[in-house]
Amino acid sequence: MGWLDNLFGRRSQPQRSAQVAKQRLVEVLVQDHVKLTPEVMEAIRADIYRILSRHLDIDAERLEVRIMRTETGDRLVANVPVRRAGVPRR
Amino acid sequence: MWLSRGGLSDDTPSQSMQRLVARRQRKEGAVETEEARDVQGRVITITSGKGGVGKTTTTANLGAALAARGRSVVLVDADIGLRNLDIVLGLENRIVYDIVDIVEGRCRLRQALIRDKRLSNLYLIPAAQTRDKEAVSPQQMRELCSELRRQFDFVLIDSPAGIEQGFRNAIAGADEVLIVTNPEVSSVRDADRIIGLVEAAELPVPRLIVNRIDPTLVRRGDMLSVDDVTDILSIPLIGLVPDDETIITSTNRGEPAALDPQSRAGQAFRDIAARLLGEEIPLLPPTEPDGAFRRFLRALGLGGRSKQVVH
Repeated sequence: MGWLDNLFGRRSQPQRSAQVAKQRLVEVLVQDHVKLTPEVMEAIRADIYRILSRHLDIDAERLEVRIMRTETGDRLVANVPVRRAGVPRR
Repeated sequence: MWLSRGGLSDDTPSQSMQRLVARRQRKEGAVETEEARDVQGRVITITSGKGGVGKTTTTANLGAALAARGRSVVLVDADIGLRNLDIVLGLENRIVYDIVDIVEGRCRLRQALIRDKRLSNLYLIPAAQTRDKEAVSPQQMRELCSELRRQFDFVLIDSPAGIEQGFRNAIAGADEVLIVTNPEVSSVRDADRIIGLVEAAELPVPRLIVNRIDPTLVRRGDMLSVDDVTDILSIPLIGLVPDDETIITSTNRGEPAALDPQSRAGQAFRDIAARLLGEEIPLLPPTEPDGAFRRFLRALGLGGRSKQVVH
């Protein structure tokens, strides 16, 4: 999927403005609802990294934490990339 | 998805039947007689949070479309101090009394009802122009709505922008709420805020009208799509209205576009009116209008019609 995007040059193009608008809206609405500031989000991200890296080798750079809106309510979604080696660094 | 949360139609067959019977029992022109007829009409508030998204246009066009379908309709301009529904309908020269005159007892209800030029079963109660939102209380609005509900099949209330007293008045007597939004960030954010306030007021889940959709921008990925907006707001849709210059020309003339069979936006408003009446009409995002070549083909009788016009 990623290589396909690269092949067709999609990666190099900037995101369409509607996508940007949607992502910004979702984030601002969650802040409006849950009163979750970017600082708190960053703290959650750091905590997830700290806890999970006790057990897994996690790629901190690509760790994503986002609030998503679904039909059943707002939801915190973490995308935690694990390195192949799989051995935690101590 | 959310469509299953009650579907598009909230008119059960028995409700439709009751309304039909009520209408048969009523005599022609009975609106003038102000006698309680127990129609049990529906009070629907059109609101948005943000200003300028098309509340007044929506109210005028839904009213015209419902009246054209034979329902008795009264439009209430609740935007006290910023009266506009009258001029959009072309009735600005007929105002004698307004909503504040009614609630303060300076006139009888029927004296303030302005009959539309074109549709004999469409009426307007104008806003006061020289007063402010505090001139009417939520309790007075509830009383006015319950009186109007007895006389009309539909009471459509044009809410002012904002979340203050004007908005609270506008939803005070409502049975249902329609939220108008445009596919852009500020009106969607305000719509979200309004949804929360409507839910807090213990009204049923409001339904959404996405107005001023530009299909070309959506296709290019430069305008929020209908799916984007409903993903974010997660309330049921009741209408999708294209950005259409016939709205400007019809408003210039004071004639609702819903009465113009050629108007694409007018068709969208007629569809919303039909959904309010319980008809199941598919919700399709507006498509780009035909280019010159297609129109040429169509003029030759080739290529078929791009969009069917009902009625």
